[in-house]
Amino acid sequence: MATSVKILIVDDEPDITSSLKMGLERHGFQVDAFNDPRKALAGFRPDVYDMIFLDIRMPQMNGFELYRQLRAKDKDVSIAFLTAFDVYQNEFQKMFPDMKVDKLLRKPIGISELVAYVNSQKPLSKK
Amino acid sequence: MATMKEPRGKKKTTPRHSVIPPELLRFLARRSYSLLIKGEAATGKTILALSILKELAAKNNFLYLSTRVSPSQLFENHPWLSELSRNDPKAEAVEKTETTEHKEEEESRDRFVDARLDEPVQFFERITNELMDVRSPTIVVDSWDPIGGMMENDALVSNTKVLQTWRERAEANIITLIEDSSNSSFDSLFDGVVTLDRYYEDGRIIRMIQLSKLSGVKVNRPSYLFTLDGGIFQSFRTYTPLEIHAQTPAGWSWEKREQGTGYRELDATLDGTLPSGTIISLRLAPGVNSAMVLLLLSGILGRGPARSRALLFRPFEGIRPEQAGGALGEVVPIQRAQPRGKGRQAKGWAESLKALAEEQKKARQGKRVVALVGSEFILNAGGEDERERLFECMKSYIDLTLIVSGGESEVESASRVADVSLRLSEVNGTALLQAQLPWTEYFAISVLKDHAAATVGLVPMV
Repeated sequence: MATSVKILIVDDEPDITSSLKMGLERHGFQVDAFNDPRKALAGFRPDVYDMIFLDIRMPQMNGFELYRQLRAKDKDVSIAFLTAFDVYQNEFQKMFPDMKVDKLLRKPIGISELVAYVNSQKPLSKK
Repeated sequence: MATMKEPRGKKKTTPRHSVIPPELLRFLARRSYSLLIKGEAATGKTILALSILKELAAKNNFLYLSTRVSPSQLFENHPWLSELSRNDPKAEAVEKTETTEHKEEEESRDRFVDARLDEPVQFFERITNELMDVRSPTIVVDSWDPIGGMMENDALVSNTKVLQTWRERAEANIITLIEDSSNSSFDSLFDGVVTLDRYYEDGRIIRMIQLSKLSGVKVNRPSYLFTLDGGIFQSFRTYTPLEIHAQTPAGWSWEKREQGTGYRELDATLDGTLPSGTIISLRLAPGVNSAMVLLLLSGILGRGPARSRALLFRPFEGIRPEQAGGALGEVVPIQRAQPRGKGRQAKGWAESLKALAEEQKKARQGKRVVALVGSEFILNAGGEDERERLFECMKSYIDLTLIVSGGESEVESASRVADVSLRLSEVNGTALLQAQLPWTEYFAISVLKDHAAATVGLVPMV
């Protein structure tokens, strides 16, 4: 089942993307990772990814803007934000009620925690 | 003398230092705070916010969200902003290349964001994004009104509450500007609230900052006068007569003015370059302390040694010769000349003054002779004819005469003959000087005493 789940990670810090990609792939997920949100957006096609992890604070384009553009292309994909800042879901929903964000994950995040989260979102696979 | 408002000359890009009220400074030193700056249009909210960034040496660790004007307009209005990135004292110690400086200036400009077309969601996204920075930034929202106008009040209050929670958690600072001073619905959501006010008195502008609420800070003085001269916020501390007296023996030094006041006669008054025979009328508003009067007079007359000029003096408004002497240097008492020879009548005041002036001129080998008298002296000199003779004597034999009148005792005839009419008053503990003739705006007399120096300056209230 895990092998068919496809994940997109966008974070401007290469250390984070490479460690998350490596860790998730070890658990059988297919992962594409980008450090430049513009490149991630340029290559994005709808109905390809089951789950997207976005950093919020990025220099080229912030996570909110990237979220908006990705959401415009794919209304249903599950999107979670990665943030180094302590934000709770209820606060976030209060501030941005129209934003369909499934989870706010606090960085640094361990692979086991991330895998548990991905698995909790089943059924995910679009294939 | 012809009156002409002169340009103040080319403004320097770096203005004089900002002076934030001490209570507000203490508040800004907190680990994390939210400050609401309230005030109608043109009361100085933007300049206060920018001055705070300068004062805090915020360098690039800030985000300025402008919902009213474009960042380029902000930089045009306040050229010193380009130096904001360079106001870190540690950074100044390191020699920088032109490229580094240019890069820093660019980075600094990038911190000013044009949010004029922002929808509320986009606007709050920008703030949230900035709060997620690990550097505990200072975020300035200039101003809240356009965003507030697009949202229901409940939603706005709810978002503000969430922002405050996040701000505190991030140990960041939020400074929010709001034009609607009467709206107090946000006051409870902010740690600090200050209100800027501007009003006119006798056609002259007065600005005041009210420190309505500064959590965790003891507010000793709830309001200060301030000016926006040079495009920077400068408040004035209260002068204290005791401090002025204590410093008087060592002397107060009047700040060298880098540019004119914009008023030719006032400049000439302060520079001591008025033509010989000038009469200045100085009217004191009720309650002005004599220490401040003497401080101002020392600026006009100088505190030079006796050799440089003769100061003819007649006690006035409770100022005795020893006080005047302490502040202004040696004084020569004006007394009625005694007749020579038995049975002769005492000389009139005009004749006595003329004789004294000529005597001093001769004794000091042609140096300037100035006279300082009160209006009571003129009033008691005799009838209208004697007063006219006195004025004639002042114009012909004395280089500069200052006639001081207090409260209601101004002498009509003194005002009539005066070439320059000044008025010294006090508002909220700040001494203000204005010229009634020729007309000038208010100038605050700024009294600064620190370890290094005791200086007095004249700062236009604009």
